[in-house]
Amino acid sequence: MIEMLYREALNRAIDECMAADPNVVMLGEDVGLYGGSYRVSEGLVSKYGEKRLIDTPIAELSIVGNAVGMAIGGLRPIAEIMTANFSLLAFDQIINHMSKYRYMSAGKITLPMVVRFPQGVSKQLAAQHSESYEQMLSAVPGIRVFAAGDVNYAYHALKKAILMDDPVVFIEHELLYNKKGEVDLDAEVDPFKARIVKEGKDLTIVSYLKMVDDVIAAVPEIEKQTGKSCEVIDLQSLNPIDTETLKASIEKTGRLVVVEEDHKMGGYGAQVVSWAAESLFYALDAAPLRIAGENVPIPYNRKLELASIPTPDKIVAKIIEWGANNGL
Amino acid sequence: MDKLTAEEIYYTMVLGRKFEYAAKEHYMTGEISGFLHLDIGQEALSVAAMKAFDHGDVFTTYREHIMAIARGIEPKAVMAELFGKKTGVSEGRGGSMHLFDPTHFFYGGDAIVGGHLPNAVGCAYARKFQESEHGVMAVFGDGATNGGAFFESLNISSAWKLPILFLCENNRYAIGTEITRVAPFLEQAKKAEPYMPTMEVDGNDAVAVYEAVKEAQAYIQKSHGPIFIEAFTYRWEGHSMSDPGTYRSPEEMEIWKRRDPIARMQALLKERYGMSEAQIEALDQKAQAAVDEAVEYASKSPEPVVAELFEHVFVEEVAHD
Amino acid sequence: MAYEIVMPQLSDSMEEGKLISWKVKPGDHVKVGDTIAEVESDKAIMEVQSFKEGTVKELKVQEGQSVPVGTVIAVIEPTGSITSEKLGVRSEERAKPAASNEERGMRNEEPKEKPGAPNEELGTRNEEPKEKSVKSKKSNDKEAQRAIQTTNDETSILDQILGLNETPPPIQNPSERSDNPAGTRTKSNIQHPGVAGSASPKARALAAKYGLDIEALQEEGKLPMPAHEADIKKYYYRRYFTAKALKLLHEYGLSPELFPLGKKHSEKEIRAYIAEHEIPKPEPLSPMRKAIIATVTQAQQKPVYHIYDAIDATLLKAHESERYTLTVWLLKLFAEAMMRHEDFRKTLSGNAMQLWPNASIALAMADGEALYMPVFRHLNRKSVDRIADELATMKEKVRSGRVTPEDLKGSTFGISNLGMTGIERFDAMINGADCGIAAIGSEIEGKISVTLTLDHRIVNGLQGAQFMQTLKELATEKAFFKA
Repeated sequence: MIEMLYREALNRAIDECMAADPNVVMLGEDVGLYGGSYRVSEGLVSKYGEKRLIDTPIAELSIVGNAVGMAIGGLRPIAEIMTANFSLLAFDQIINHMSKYRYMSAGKITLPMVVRFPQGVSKQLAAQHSESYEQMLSAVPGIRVFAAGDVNYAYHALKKAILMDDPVVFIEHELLYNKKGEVDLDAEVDPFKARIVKEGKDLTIVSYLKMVDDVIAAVPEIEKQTGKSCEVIDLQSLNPIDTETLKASIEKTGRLVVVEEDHKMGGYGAQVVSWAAESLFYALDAAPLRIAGENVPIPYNRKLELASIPTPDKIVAKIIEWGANNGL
Repeated sequence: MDKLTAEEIYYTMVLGRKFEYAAKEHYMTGEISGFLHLDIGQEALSVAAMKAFDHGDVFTTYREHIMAIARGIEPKAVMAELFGKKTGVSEGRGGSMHLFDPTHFFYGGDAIVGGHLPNAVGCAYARKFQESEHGVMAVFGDGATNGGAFFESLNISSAWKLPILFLCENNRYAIGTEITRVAPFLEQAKKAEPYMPTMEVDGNDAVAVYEAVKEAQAYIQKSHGPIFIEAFTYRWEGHSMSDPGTYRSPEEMEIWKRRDPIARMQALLKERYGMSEAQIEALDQKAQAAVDEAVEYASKSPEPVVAELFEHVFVEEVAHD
Repeated sequence: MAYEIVMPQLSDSMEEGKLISWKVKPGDHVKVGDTIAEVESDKAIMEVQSFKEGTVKELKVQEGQSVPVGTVIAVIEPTGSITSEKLGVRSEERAKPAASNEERGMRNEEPKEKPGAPNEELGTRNEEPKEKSVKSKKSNDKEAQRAIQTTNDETSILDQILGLNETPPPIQNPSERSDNPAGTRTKSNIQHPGVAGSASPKARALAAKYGLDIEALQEEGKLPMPAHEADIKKYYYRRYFTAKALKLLHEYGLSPELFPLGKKHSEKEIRAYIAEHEIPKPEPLSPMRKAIIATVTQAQQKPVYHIYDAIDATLLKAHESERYTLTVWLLKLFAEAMMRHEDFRKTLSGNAMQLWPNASIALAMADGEALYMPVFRHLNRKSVDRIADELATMKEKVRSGRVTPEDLKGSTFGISNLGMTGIERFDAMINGADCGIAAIGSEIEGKISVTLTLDHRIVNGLQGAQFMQTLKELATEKAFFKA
C-alpha cells in the first residue's frame, strides 16, 4: 500500500502505461510543458517528450477528434479536456464518432482511447465551469463511463481504461485531485465493479465521485439519529452499471437512496432508481429517495453555490425526514 | 498517365455510374432504404483521386460508394451493405453512409459534415509519429468548409506540419444552398491559403485530378506538411434520393452534363491511347456484369440476425452489461 | 495596524499550502508587489507578494511547513502605522473563527414554507391528504395507531431483533431540519397516505408469503399505516414466540425463521436448540480489546529478536519496601542504563533516527481487562521518591480509567513486569514506536529473569548485550541504591 494523492495516482497510471507501451500518447490543453491544469501529467513531458505529450490548441472538438484519428492510426491516445463544460464542444466527436465507429464498421475499427475530464462543483467557479455530464454520457451506447471517487480506483481504473481496446470516458472530480488515499499497486481491481465503501444492513446509499465522501461524512450522524446502519456504495462504473452489487445490497436493506451532485431533472440517479423500481420492486421496503443538485445553473456566491448541491448536512436532514415516513 | 491506369480509371468510373444507377433502381423498389447519396457526375474526381492516392489512409464522407469501390472494396460488398445484408462491408450496421474497411485504409462513411476532418488530422499525427512514409487524404464537400471542424483542422495540421491532403470536392451546393450564398467566394481553397499551399483542378477531368493528387501525395510524403486541393465538379442527382434538386436551373444542369467526365475520359482513351470502340464497349459490358453480379449477390445474401444486435459494440464483454 | 499576510488560496481546490522558501527576513523593508515567499499549492509553486509597504515584523511559518489556507504566515508593519498591540487589541479577538454554519449554507432559518407551495421536481402541488369519506373509519384508525404505539417488552425485543430502535428516533419538523436555501421551494416529496392497505412492496410480498391480510390487520389496529417489512415480521413473530424466547433469539443472533412457524415456541425450546446445535453466544469486542488488538498486531510486524539473561535480586530485594516497590527500582535501574546506552533512547521516524535526551519508559499496567502502557518521563532526572509518587498516581488513574492520551506518549523503551505472578520467564511485545521492551520475571533463587525484545532496526545485538551487562552491574552496585 502506498499513500498518494488522487492526481498522483492518475499520473502514475499514465506514466506506467506510457513506459509500457510506446503507442500511448496524451493530448490536451497544457498537458505537456505546463504539466496539466491539475498537475495530472506533471513531469511526463520530460520523460516521454513533446511528441507523446501533445499540447493542443484550445479546440476541444479537435482534441477528441484527433484522438479518434490517432486511435484509428494505431496509437493509444488519452485526451484530456480541462473541465466537463468544455467537453460539450467535443460531444460531436464523443457521441457521433468515438462511440459509433466500431459498431458502424461492424467491428473493423477499434478505438483504444480515453477521454478524461474533471467535473462538478469545485469552489466558486460559477455556471460555466461547475457542471456534471455523466447523465448524458452514460446515455451513449458504445462508450464505457468510469467515475473515479477513490484514489485506488483512480489508479487502477485509469490504467485499465488506457489498456482497454474500447473507448472510455473517464470522469474525475475537481475537488478530488488532492485527496489522499492508499493505493494497492498489486491489487486486481475490476473497473466495472462498484465498491462497497461501508457495509450496513438497513439502508443502501448509492453515490459516486465526490458525493461518496459527503455521504461518508453524513453517515455517522444518520446512524446516530436513527440507530440504523447504512451501506454505502460507490458506483465507479456508470455505464455499464454494476447491478449485481446493487441488487445484493438493496435486497438486504430494502431501502435505496441515491446521492448525486448533478441537477435532479434527468440526473443519473433517476436511472438507478428506475432500474431498482423495475427490477427489485418487491425487495423495496420504502419509496426510493434521490438527493441531487437543484435545477439551477451553479451560482458563484459560495452560500448559493452550496445551496445548489447536496452537502453532508443536507444529506443527513433529507434522509432523516424521508426515513420518518418510510419506516427507517 | 499510362494506358493501363487510364483504362483502369475509365472502367471504374463506368462501373461506379452503373453501380449508382442500380442503387437508385433498387431504392425505388424498397430493397435499399434510408439515405442514399448518389455520386453520378462526380466519377472522375472520386475514382481518379483514389487511384492516385495509392498508399496512405483515406477519410471521406457519406457520398462514398464509388470511392470505396475505387479504393478496392468489392462492389458486391458495397451493394450488400446498401441492401443492409450480413455480407455487406459493415455487416448491415452502417448502410450507404458508413462504409469502412481498414484493410484498404478506407475510413469512408462519416455522415457528420466536417466531423471526419479532425479524425483524419489525428490519423496523420499517428503516421508522422510512426515515421510512416504514408500520409492521409481527407475528402469533403464545399459545405464542410464553413464549419469549425474544418478551420480547426487546417490550423492544427499546419501548426504541426502533418502529412495530410485536404481534397475539397466543390459541387457548388450544400444540399440545396448554393455555396456563394453562405460563403464570401466560390473558391473554398482561399480559406486554406494562409495555412498551406493550395491547388485548383477541374474535378471532371480524371487525368487532371489524378496528376494533382499524385503531386500532392509526393508533397506530403516529404514532410512538408499539409496541402489543399479544390476540385470543381457537379452532381447530376439531388443531394439524396429525397431531393429532387429543383433549386438548380435546367440550363445549369445542361451545361454540366455537357462536361460529363465519363464521355471526356472515353474520348481521351480513343484519342490519346488509341483504343477502339469495341475495346471500350467490352469495358462497359464488363462493368455492367460486375454491377449485375453485385445486385444478385446483395439480394440473395442473408440479413443479419437479431441475436447479433449487440455484436461489435465493444471489444471487451462485461458480465453485467 | 499590522498587516497580516495569509497563506493565499491559489486555486479553487486548494485547502492548504506548503511554504517553500522565504524571500525576506524580519526587519526587511518590503514594497508593494515585492515577493516575500514561495508557496506550493496543489497545482504549482507560486510567489506570494505583499500588497502593502512596510517592515517585516514576523515570519510565522517555517520553510517546509504546510498550513491551511487563510493561516497568517507573516506580519508586516506598514510604514508609519500604529501596531495593534499599542492599541490594546488582543489577537484572539481579531482572529474570530469562521462562521462555519453560515459558510456551509446550513443556517437554520425560519421555515418559509407555505402550504401548497410547488413541488420541487415536477411543479405539481402538494395536496393535503384526502379526507376519508367514512368518518367512523377515521376514528378507528386513531385507536389503531394508539394501540400500536403502546409499547411493551415484547415489542422492544422484536425491535432489537429486527434491528429497530427501542425508542423511535425523534421526528423533527422537516422544515426546521432540512436545509432550505430557496426559502419556499423545498417540501417533502413523500406523502403519508395513512389509509388501510398502504404498505411497502417488500411488506406486501412478505404478507403474501405469510398469508396475512394487511388491510384487515390495519383496520384492526394490528399493523401501522403504511406497513413496512419490519411491521409484518413483528406481528407475525409475536404470534409464535414468547417474549423470553424472542430475547434469547436476539442474544444469540438467531433468526426466528429457523423454527417452524405455526405453533408457539418457548424459551426452553430455544435453549434446547442452542445446546443441540452448539451455537456460540456472540460477544462484541470492547473498545479496549479492539485497541489492544490493533497495538499488538502492529507490534508483531516489527523485526525483533530476544536477549535472555537474569539480574541479581539481592540488592533489589534488600531495598524493596511498600513505598519503594520493585517496580520503582526497576524504572530507576533501566533509566540509568538507558542514559549509558543511547540506542535505547532512539526511535525511528520515517527515514531518520531520533535520539531523545532523557530516559522515558512505558510501563505495562493492567486493571481487569484494561491494559495501558503509561509513560514515566525523564526518569534520569527524577528521584526514587518522585518516581514512587508518580507510580502511585498512575495506578489510581489506571484503576479509575482516567488515563489520558497524553499519558501514553513520549517513551523510547518499555517494561512489563509479571514478577508478582510467580512465572519464571516470558517475553513481551514492543509498545508503539519504542525500540524495545524488557519482560521481568519472578525472583527465583536470588535471580530475576530479564528478557529483552528489541527492534533490530534500531538496536543491534551487540548493543543489546551491552545494555543487559549494564543492568546486571547496576543491580549489584551499592552506590546505585543510595540515590
